[in-house]
Amino acid sequence: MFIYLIKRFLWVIPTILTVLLILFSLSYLLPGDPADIILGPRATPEMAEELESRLGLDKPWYQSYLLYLQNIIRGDFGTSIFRDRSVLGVIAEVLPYTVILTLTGMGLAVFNGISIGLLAANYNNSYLEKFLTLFSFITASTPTYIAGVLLIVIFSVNLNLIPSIGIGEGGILSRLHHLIGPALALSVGWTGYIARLTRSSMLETLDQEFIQTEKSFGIPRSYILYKYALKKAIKPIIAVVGLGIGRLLGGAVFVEVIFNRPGLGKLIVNSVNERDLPMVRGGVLAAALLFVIANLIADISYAYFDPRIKQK
Amino acid sequence: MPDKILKINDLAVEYKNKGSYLRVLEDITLELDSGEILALVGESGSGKSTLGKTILRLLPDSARIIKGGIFFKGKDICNLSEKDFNDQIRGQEMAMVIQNPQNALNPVFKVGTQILDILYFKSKKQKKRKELKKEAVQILKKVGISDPEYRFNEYPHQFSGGMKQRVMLAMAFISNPSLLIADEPTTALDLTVEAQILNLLSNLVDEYKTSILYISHDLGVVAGLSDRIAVMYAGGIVEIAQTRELFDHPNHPYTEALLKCLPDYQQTEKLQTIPGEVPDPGNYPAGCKFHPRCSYSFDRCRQEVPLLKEIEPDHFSACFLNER
Amino acid sequence: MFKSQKFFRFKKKTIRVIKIMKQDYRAYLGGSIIMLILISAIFAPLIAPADPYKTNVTKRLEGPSLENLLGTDSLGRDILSRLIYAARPAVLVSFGGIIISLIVGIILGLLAAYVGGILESIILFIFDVIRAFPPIILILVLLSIVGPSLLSVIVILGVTIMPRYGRVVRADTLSEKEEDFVEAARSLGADNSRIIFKHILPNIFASVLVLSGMDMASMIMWEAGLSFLGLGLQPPLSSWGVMLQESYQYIQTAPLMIVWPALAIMLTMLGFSTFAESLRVALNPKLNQEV
Repeated sequence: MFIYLIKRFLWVIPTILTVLLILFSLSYLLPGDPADIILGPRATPEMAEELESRLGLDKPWYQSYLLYLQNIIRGDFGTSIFRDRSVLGVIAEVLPYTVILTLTGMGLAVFNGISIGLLAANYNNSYLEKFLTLFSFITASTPTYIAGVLLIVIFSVNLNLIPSIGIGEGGILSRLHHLIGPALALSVGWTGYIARLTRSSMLETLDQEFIQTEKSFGIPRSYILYKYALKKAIKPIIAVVGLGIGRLLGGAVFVEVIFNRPGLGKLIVNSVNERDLPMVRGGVLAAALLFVIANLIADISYAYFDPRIKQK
Repeated sequence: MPDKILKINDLAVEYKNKGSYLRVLEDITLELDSGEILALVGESGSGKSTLGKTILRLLPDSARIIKGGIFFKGKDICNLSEKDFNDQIRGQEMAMVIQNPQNALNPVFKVGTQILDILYFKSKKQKKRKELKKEAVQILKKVGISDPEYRFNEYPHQFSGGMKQRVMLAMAFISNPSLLIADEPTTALDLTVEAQILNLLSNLVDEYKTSILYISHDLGVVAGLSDRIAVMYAGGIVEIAQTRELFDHPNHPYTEALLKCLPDYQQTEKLQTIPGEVPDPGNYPAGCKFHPRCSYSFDRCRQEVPLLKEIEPDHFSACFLNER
Repeated sequence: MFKSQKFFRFKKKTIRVIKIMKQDYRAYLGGSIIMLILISAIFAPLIAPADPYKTNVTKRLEGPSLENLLGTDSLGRDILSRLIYAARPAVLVSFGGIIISLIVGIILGLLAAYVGGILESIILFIFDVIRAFPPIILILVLLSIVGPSLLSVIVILGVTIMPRYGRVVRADTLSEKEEDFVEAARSLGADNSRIIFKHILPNIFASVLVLSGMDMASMIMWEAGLSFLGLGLQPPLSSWGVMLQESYQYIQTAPLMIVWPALAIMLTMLGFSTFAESLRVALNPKLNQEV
């Protein structure tokens, strides 16, 4: 198990280095002179020259790349063209919003998904179960942005229950109020997925002999369902949560744009539109890092919950 | 004559399968005296496990009783609500031990926790789990688990097959049940372990005066244990008699064939097998269900269904040969 | 000898799968939605009641009426006609994208499994790097390099999804390679391409088919999402994503307008995923209990 973890951890390093290489090569791949792209349209020739020597753009590409790596390690991600601020500062400012949104979305998906799945398993072969199964299937194949748009149309425009844009001002209540819509939109797809997973896992567990034994010893049905079966059935669900967080990070891009919330996704989209290369690089790097970490957690939790890997 | 602990009257059970109904049990009539061990013997697929599960209401939702009744201590338990059944019968008056100990204990809970929960619900939630721990350890000790204090906190996969079955028995006897349904409790075990478990079971029965419905496919195992034997074939009972009587004077051709399949340690005869297989529910032949495999079958067997009849005192058999 | 046996197995399996799917309402539901989209795409000019690009400023943002069944958009264009025409980029993107994914993925997967060594490591590493990005971010970056157009969207989506197929093909090929019949075929002098086409491809066909059904749905989803962000297909082209983006500005005043393309995308996703689900169950009947 320990060796597996170390291996898995070390494997991340070349991946991240290559991600950095791709981001670095963006300045060469984009049409135009690298220095001009990095500095933006308002640059003077002197500024371009200064930047070229500072970033080593006049040297061979690998030296320039090493310099880029050094800067990253020192925490220097460059300066945003559009905002005229340090890239790292901008990212640090918006990152918490994305993290909170993603975690809340995942929390909702886990809670709602497990509840729906449990209900479906509990009332197996009933009309309620058929309805819930259909519901999970539909939500599982609903794109995040569709969920967001429909939520706004129904709950914001028609019912006026939730705000459609922004993050709220002042108090925590207002912030939570503004978080409901986006987090719900983000959670929709995984709610369906987790519901389906919970249902099939519960049905499989309830079919096991030990459940019959427990029943025959007079343990009440609800107790068997929520204590004995759930603990066994919940393992595969916990194992996919890490994976889900990675996926929801991608979905957050749409949610942030639709609900007009600050966040990493919106920052990247805006920077791409503004052709703000340093900002794009920094944002993508942050997103890739988060994604890699989420996947790492997913792999580790898989390993933890799968005894076959655990024993290795 | 002692009271009947269990009485089953003309019971029939059906499974719903893709819109059609399959009759898996039919014409089951059975009585069990208090303190008696009745063995239910038959090949796999004969419906013996289904009968055990029917009594304890452990069948899936797709199964239902369509005829007959089950009377426990003179009371019809088919009409109890699910809640009453759970409160009054399961874990109070009846318990079950099942075939495969690997799968009989929940793998994600400590053995002690599982015992505590049974004790807790037996006490109708009156006692705290802490108070019950001593009792639980005592129970483990009683079924021969060494170092029970330590074992209490272990998970099932840390127990051997025989020890798991001991734990199962411990759990089953917690409630001091009047009736224990033992569904092939030793089939998955080694021969020596099997002997130990059977021994433990006999001791517990002597102590608690429990009646047992012992389900097995192995006549050899039940020979030394049971008072009476009921032989099942394709969802029905074909013969019931005292153990000695059944071994000495088997009446039904199926019983006879089963006995010939039994290895004799002196190996005087070549082992026999019964040709063919138990038919699936839904593909039962007309008439006597055993007739395609029976070497004595004649015309009537193909047309009419034989009923269980008393051919000697306390010896019932369902075969037309007795009427010829 | 080995070939015909193998091929016979494949054919038998196909017949069995079709037989199972014939009894599954999901196959009909998904299949008819996919057919509906295909028909809309191919026969758009015949079906659409109006010209999807004809603007009419006097009829802006009108609700449903007999003349415009689903109403008109901000430029007075007929929404229904635009919806029907928008099936075209959806079909192009999903089929184009999946073909690129399949071709590149199968070639790389086969190469990795057959050649092995350093080439295999490099290919696997490429897969890992692609998977190190959240898909949407990778697509955004790549699009910013090549610029948004129908072709670039197709190629980039194809490349982004490709590692899934590469990995499946590699894993299956590795296990198939071990099997006796391939060894036997090789000992009889069959060359590699023959083994690949007659033995390996038919065998991985099943797992790849289910995956591609689901991925075609996600490609349509990505395309619409990108266009919605303004980074995919560009107006005035009729695409569900473009329509989403155009109507998003009017979500407060004319909320019904955005519902139509949203429903079209949802229906498409549902169609592909129910069909893929039915296929998955048919290929593996043991799964039938679960949904």
